[in-house]
Amino acid sequence: MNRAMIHTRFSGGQRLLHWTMAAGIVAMLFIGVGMISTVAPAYVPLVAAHRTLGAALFLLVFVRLVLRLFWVRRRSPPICRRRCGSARRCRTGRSTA
Amino acid sequence: MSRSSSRPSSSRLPLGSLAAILLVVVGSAGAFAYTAGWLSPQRLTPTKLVAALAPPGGPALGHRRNHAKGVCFTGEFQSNGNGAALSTAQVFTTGTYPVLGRFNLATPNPNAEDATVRVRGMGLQIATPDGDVWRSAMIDAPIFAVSTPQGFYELLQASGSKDPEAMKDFVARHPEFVAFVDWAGKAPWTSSYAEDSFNSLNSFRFFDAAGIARAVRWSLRPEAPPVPIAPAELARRGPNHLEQEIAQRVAAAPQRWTMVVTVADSGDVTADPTKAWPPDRRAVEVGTLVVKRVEAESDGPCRDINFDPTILPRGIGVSDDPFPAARAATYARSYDLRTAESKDYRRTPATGSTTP
Repeated sequence: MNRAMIHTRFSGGQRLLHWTMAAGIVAMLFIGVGMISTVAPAYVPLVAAHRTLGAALFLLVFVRLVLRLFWVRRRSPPICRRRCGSARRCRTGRSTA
Repeated sequence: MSRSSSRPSSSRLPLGSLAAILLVVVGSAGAFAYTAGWLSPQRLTPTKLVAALAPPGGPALGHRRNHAKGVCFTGEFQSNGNGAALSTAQVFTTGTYPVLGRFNLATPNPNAEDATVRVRGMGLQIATPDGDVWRSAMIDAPIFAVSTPQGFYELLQASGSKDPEAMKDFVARHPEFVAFVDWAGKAPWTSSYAEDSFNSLNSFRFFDAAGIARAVRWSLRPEAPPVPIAPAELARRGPNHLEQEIAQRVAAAPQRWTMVVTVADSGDVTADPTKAWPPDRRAVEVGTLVVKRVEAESDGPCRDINFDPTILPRGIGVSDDPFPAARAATYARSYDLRTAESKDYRRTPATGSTTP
């Protein structure tokens, strides 16, 4: 935990990662629902895209976790600090009461 | 817009934002519905095709939705190296590669009597050490019945229809079907899977080391000479003669087929499996399929294999033939259904040769 620096904002790279993954997940929803409802030649590339995107997102989740835990960490939002009593307890999730 | 926070603008802004949000939500939902086919009920889907395959009494739960009756085999593919000039796939380099497959009958009824089913098939999987897998599902007819997946759906609907004019109307709209009917009526039957040829029918593309693509089809030609038999005589040999015969025959000696790859000339039709290529096309014998062991399907190694014809090694790809994609989509639907119904198709306790 000590290794993580506390910042007030996520870094540009983290935000890029976040929105890239968001776009990837939405794309997978569309590709998935499209591929199971067609017998057209597009089925083959759609399945390949779905598989590739799914594997890429799976790997990016780990990149995301590593970044979050060990590299750059944002300060918890004020509402969270108020509810938890202390930022540290909030971050570690020990209390929500 | 102005940054001032005067009342009129502050009351308009949220409305504008709400409208923008609504537009995004409705637009996304609409795009999703369109992608899913909910706005196009005419779209041919795997669900529709699989439903159309079901006999009047409903599908046989736990079984493949077509080619439901079958028996597993294992063996090897002995590649002679000739195919390496056509494709970089490792399966064409000289060597022996493990094979898993399935002899089957083209019927949705797993208990159909052998003599009632005109079309026979072979599912084949060849694995290579580089991790690639080549799956193929072939039939004994030299041409397919219809030119397009939509045509196949219409054939299923017409043949399942109570309207006596349905088949006549279908043939009028699909004259290509006549050649298949002609084959079905005239081609001799055999009393053994070991005497049947099996054809890819669909066109694929082979890529050679220079990256040149060639349209191809492939066939497995039996070593055993075909002995014609009348369907009535086949019926007399029993409802499950083919499975019993191939098991005995393979137990006595391995059975062989030669794999022949036929290369299209430029100008040959590759998008229509009802159109055979002229017989003088370049044909390359690339190896021998050796079937060494036959096992019942319920516990056999082919039971949970989907012989999806788009599962291809590097060096082989799909062509402009619309069928492999349609078959892959439909087989996937069938696979999802039957594997979820496995309680309706129990594995049997091992008897004799297999161990639990």
